[in-house]
Amino acid sequence: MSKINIYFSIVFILLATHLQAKDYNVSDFGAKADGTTVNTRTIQRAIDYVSENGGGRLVFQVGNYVTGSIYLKSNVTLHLEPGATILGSTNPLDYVIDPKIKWSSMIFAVNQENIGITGKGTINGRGFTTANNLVSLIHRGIFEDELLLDRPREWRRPENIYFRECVNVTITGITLRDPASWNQTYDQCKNVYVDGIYVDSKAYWNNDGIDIVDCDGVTIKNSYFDAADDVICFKSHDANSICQNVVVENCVGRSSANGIKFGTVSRGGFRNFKIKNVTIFDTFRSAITFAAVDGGIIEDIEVDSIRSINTGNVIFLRIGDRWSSGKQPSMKNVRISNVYAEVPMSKPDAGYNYEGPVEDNPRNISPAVIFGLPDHKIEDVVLKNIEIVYPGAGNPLYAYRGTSQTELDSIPDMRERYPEFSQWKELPAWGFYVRHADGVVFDNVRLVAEKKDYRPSIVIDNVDGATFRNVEFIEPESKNKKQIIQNRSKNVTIQ
Amino acid sequence: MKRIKTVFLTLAVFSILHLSAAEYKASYFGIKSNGTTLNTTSIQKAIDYIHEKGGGTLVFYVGRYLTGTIELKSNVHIVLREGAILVGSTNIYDYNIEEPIFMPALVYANKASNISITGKGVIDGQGAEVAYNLVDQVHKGIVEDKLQLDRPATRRPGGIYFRECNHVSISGITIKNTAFWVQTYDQCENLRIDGITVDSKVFWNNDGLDIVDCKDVVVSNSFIDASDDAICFKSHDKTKRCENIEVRNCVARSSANGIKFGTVTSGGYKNIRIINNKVYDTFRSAFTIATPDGGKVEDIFVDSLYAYNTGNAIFLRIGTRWNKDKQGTIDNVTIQNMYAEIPATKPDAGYGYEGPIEDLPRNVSPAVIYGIPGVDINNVTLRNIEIVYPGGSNPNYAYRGTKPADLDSIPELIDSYPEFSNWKELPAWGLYVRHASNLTLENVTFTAKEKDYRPAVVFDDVKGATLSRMQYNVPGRGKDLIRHKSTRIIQK
Repeated sequence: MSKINIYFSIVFILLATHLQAKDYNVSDFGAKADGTTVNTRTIQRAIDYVSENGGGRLVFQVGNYVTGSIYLKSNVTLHLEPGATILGSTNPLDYVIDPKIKWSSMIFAVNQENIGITGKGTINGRGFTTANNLVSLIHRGIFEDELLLDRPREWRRPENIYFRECVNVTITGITLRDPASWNQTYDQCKNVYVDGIYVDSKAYWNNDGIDIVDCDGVTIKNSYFDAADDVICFKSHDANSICQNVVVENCVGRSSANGIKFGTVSRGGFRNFKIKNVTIFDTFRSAITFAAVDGGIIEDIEVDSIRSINTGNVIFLRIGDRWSSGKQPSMKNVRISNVYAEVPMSKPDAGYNYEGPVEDNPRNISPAVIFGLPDHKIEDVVLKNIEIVYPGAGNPLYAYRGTSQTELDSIPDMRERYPEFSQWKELPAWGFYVRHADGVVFDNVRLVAEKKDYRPSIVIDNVDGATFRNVEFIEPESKNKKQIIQNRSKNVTIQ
Repeated sequence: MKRIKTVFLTLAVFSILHLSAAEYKASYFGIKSNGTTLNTTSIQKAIDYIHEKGGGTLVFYVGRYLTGTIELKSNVHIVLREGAILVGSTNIYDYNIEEPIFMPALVYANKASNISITGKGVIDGQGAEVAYNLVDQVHKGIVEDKLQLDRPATRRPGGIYFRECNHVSISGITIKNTAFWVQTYDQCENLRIDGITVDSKVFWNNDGLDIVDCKDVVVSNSFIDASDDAICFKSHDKTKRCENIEVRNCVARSSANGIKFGTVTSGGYKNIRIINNKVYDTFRSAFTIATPDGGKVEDIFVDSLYAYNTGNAIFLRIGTRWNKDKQGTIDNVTIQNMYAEIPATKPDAGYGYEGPIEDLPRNVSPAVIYGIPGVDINNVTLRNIEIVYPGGSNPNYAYRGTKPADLDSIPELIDSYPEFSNWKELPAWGLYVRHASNLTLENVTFTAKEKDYRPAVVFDDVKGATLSRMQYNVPGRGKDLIRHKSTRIIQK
């Protein structure tokens, strides 16, 4: 009897699913796939119609559909068949700045539910042209913009996707290319499911791969990102919100900035993350950056199985005090395991259209950095099964930071600075530098320098409770070199 | 000394004019002339920008500028240089179809002042494609519409719709091919239309020019070829009316009426002068005044109107279609120096959107002046007029006799849509007048080319008429004038 019940419910669910997924062809609404007709109003009418009639998939068959800003509505999925491309209009005036979000985008959704973008098609913002057309309009005085470094402000440049306060968001299969700002932002959304997408976006400044802002319940998996700015980026814009309950797995990211990043804006915080089986390569900045610099919290973060090749830095954990406005930032219970990483001698993002900035040197290659604040220490970090291969070859005649107490004490905390692993220039270790942290465990960690480095491998400073278990250092010509230097630290166990 | 002062003054005025007319090229705003880029947002930005900067001129040079609805704002002047074409998008959703004031349009303005569209360029609505795309959306069920006779009742955009604007100038341009009325000026003041060309026969309701409840208007030197009424005055608001209007030196071709007052006439018309115009190929009347909705029509002066190949020369009509409680009036209408030729065949044959095939029979209709019982059309003067008819009517085809019982049997049809052909056969071939007072016919010639079984003129319930220097030219000479229930008819 109960078996029959189950059958009935399965059949019912299938029927219900079938009924819900009514398909509408966008061409029936008069949308043209000719690559020249601007279809904004048509696509909008189609979305409104599908939403008003109970929902379904709005299907784009093969072809190029040009559009400006459109708003996705509840129970509507944009389905892009293989060969279907939604092309962003190159006219900046075809985009709107949403009055609530105060940001520009091609595909918006605000306060909607059960929405998605699926299929094997492409969304191409053509942001390089759009951004430059915008610059041209600004130069002519048609828009006012302070135009820093000849870049229009981020919020005026359209993203590909910006969803705000939406519930049940599905993004699968699609390719996202070249917006004029970030690629896709999910802001204060609940239940975001991203699977099997491909992001290829190096068209303009701020081309983040994906930005998750203050969302609850997020899965990002089986996706590939190649982006000029941060690849998989979690932010917290709202001091009263938080990014939480997030799974990232089986993703590959290339980035001229950071691979996986929490921040920079980090007002509310980040909680309960599982990041698993991720490969990061060619990143100018860090493979993993967790930054709590605006008063937010970071806790219960598990990172497992990371491969980081040709990245400027592997791990950067930072508490700062930039825009905290009285809030108490914190970071605790971060576990990073099964990492293999290679840091190159040369600039890892060389050849990107929008490379990371050429630094105001000198510094030798930087170590992984865990850097709290004296009044807000990073707590309970476990690093397990980790191998990082550095080029070594730190040259004291080029840049020098010694390990005497005076020298270590003299390293500034830089509480208010924009957080980057390179902000201190030369750091006194080549493998790991840990400061203002309580409870740090190095378990089965292997640090390799390919050439001799004048610095020790690890420096810990103001650390209460550190365990080094099965930590191995490989550095040429360094027999009997003291590889772990402690300053102002206690409860340190080296096994 | 005085002359020098004048020169300085002139210079000063010129320099002020020059300063106020900042000129902006469309391309400056990224507006593309390639005919494929939809420029709606860019043109709108240009208008907004110029408006916010205190006004100026937006110049379009040669090219095709595709756009959806744009809203013109105060002190912005659009110049379409020769070869510049503002092309309406064929996509119905590119127009303000959802919440228009009265009707959607390609160029739209609401409560703007000091605006203009000038130059030798073109506004092309691509109305056939727009209308058919709309029909297609209705057929698919995406857009709801009653779709009578497969014509969408709503959402068809016009070319221009200006509402409550003042100091408006439209000159030099050509407007063609809209999906609805070509251009509508609604409750505008100080409107000047000069030297424009209208070429619009692509869909139903292609009125050439609609002046609705406007004040102080001059329409001059323009050519209008339209598949619905060519030059049309309307009154939609019963608290408003059309007032102080002159139409001069225009030529109009129409598959409906040439120059028409109505149909919708809520407020009325006062002090309208129609001077030196030509009308041809009109299925309906060369000149129509219809007040079926309670509007007051007074002080209408028509001089030098030439009408060729027109279905009817003159049609004046009171009715009670909508405002049953308020009856319209027609008072003090002078039509002088008019020449009209009526053909035996359909005058609008060959139009894309011809007038309807009538539910016949009727022989060729006379000019008609037709009030309603109790409300006379008052004080109409017809002076120096010749109307040439084909004659040759056949009583075996349609027949309306002139015996009292025959004349009384003509229905009043006071709540019908007013057309000269409403009554089918009328009992005169030249002029039929019913429910009128103080009529003057002076030097009026009615010519029929062939013998007609009907008399030239029938008066029914006419209270006071003076006829002088009348000529009735008809082979075989029938009766000139039949009087029925009429008083004070003076023939000189």
